[in-house]
Amino acid sequence: MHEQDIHFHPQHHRQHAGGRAKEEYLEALWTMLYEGRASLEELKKRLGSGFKLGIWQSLIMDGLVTQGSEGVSLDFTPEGRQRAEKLIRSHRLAERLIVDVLGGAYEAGACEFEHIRHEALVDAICTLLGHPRECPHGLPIPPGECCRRAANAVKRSVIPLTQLEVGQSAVIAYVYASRDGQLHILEGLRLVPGKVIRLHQNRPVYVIEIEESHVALEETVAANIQVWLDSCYWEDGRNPPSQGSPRPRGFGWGRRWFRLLRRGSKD
Amino acid sequence: MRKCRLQDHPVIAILGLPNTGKTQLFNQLTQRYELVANYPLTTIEKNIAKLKVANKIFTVVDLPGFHSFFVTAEEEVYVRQELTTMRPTIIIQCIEAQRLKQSLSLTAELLELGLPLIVCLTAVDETKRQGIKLSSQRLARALGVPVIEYSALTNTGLEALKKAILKVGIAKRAVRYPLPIEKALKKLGSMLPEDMPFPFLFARLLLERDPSVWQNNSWLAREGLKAQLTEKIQDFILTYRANSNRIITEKMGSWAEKVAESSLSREGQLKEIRLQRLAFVLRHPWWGFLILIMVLTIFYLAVVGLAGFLEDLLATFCFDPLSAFIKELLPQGFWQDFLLGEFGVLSLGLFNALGTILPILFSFFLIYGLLEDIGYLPNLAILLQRFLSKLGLSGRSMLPIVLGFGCKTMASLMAKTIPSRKEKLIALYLIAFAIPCSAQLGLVIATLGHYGLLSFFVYLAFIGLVEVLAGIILNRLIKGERRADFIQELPTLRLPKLKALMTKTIYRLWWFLREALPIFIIAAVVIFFLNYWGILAWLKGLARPLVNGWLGLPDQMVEALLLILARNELGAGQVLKIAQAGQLSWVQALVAVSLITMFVPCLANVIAIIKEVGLKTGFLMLLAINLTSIALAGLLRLALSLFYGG
Repeated sequence: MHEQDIHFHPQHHRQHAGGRAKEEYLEALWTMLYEGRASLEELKKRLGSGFKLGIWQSLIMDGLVTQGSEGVSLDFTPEGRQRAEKLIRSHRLAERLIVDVLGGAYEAGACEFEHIRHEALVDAICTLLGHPRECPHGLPIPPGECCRRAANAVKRSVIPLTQLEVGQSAVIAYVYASRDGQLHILEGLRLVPGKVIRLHQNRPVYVIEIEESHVALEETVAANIQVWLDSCYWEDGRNPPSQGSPRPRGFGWGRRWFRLLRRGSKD
Repeated sequence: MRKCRLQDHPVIAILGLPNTGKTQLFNQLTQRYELVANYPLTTIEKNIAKLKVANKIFTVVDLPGFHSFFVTAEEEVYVRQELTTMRPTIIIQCIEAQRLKQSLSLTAELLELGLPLIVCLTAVDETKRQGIKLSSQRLARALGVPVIEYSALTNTGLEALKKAILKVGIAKRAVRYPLPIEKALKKLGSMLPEDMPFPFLFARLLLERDPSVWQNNSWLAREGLKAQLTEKIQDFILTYRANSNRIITEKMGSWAEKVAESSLSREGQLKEIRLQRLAFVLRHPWWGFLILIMVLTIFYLAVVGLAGFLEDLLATFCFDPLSAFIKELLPQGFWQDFLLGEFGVLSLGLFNALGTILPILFSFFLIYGLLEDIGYLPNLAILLQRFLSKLGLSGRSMLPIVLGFGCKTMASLMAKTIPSRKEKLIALYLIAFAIPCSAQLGLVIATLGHYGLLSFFVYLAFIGLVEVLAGIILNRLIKGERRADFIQELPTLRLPKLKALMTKTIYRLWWFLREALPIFIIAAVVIFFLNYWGILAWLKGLARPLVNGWLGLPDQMVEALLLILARNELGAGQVLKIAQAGQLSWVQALVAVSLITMFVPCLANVIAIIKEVGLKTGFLMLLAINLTSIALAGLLRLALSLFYGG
């Protein structure tokens, strides 16, 4: 994995003295280029008082970045871009880990790993770390299902909404908006991480139930909503579909109708 | 009436998400009637009326529903612009109690306007049925604004609302953003012109980089301001290392969640209402179609049965005796002919409108209003989209097309809000082309009532087919992209209320009469003189090859086609009359009703189209519609005569 490339190859840092500081510059440049403007002046603004021209010039010497005349149109060399992308990737993934896994408010420093509700995610982390048995303080870590199975590969823990089966419920993991304006609508409909949704139909448009209201979504929007695989369940207590054994085909409407009737008579 | 000036009195604006009962409240508050129905965007243009509360006069404005000030669709630009120009003194937000959480994000935005805000909870009784308890006191405390529980059914809460209007104070912002964002907002706000309304809101929209902020904004168009603002925003983006838009929406969302949780409590297990399960069946590919066929059959039976009954009733007790009386009064000759002849002002104009067309429209509007109030139409739109997604249309365009069955003009206005130009053109064309509007469909059913249910379904199959064909061809012809990012909340299915339904039906009839009756009478006069001077006979001769030859219809159809030019119902009524006289065969009747469905959309629709797409494109569309309608009607005759021998 990319993170490992960076963190577990110390010689990478040793090759360039002051690697940490340089990396700051690479990250800053990457973000500036993403925003669409990059000049030496703005780099100064962004890095504040820590800015040293020498470090920037050494980056140019290393062949990682290029600079136009008079400090405008800064850019990466292909190698520099690759380095920066890796940095940004590991940085943001770490943030994701802290926010999603360690309990949210990372500004406040209140990380609560033990409150993770999604076992699949804990198992994924456990597998990633090679099923460790003790914590850094030497205390035992109770083995999980994954340790017993001694799983070696990390299974994907989120799937897009489009892969749910009709009638299944699941907890939203991530929501991505294709346009900025969409965020407000999604937020307004409470289509946000942590909410339980239920898929009512998937053709010709996706109809989901969230917070007691029904929402129709086009496939492109539905594909941008990711749910925890582990959280998928059928409301009538059936197990989530095991991968590999497809659900029986045909008479879907009959079964569903039957279920509707049965549930209807209960309440 | 609609010209009630905004500046005269303090303005109260009614805002809220789509389909939250804003117009309902407006109607009750001002004792007026504007159309209400159970689907989003029933109101497309603002409604204005006066309201007197304890000697103080206010202007109440009812605006279309919208989701947020960050614009994602055209109707939202409209609402924002209306708000900035009318500068309301009080805002009432309608919140459907069931969708409290979904509405509170908008509340957070409204609290940022720096205006007095009143929250009006609608459909409170429904939450009770679902086992959710909503405490309006706790909600009011959490929001810091008055919260009124309002029920349109029992009409309670109106007095409390009026009291609140008199003493409500300016609302305070509720959501705090992270410090860097707050600082930037303050800075941006101070840079905006002094006289600009809602500086905080606009500062936030600028920071969130809503591109539509710059559109038609005279305040921001000032010398050099744009450059300064963009500079400041760029600086902020450089130093703030997060997507401010996401942070802001998340803050609003979590605030909404917290407020809602604090004022809602569950009483036992949540009961899923059975009606919602029905909604699922309505959209189901098989059951949905079965239900659609049932609905159409009910339409047919109701219009044929009820309208026929009413028509007979009116004829026997009102119009027949009246005609007989006038005939006795006036000697045979010009005047009797002018009033009661084949094209008489009374017989073709007044009596026709009141005695024949009104009963048909009454029956039709009754059933249609029922479907509207239940909330069937958005679900139908989803059912039909399965087939129409092939036509290059996204879900966004389906509802306007389905609503075309109610009124094509309203549907065209709604189609205006479709973001992609290609889709908009296709939708406008399809609406204008072969979707029969309520008046047409009612009369078509009445006509086909003489030929049996099968003919009605043949007719529906035909117009369905030509719509699909037109859609496929247009999809090929018009260049552009479809924008598939449609999100639509489906309305809660509701049991309709008889009183509201009757009110709606009667208002629709009244609007029809107000608009159409003068045209009916004028058209009768014109065609009377055309006939009197022999021009009609000459026209018939001229059109004979087309009408007789190609379409295989009797000469009288020329009159019907002429009358269509004046008013759709008038032409359709003429076809009905010809059919009643037994002068049309099965095939001829089908050809005739198909032709009048496709031929020349009504004037209001034409104007709506031209306003939207411009004179040239609009004219081209109309030309294409009319030519293809005649061609297709002829083809239909050929096809049917193969089977039935014409």
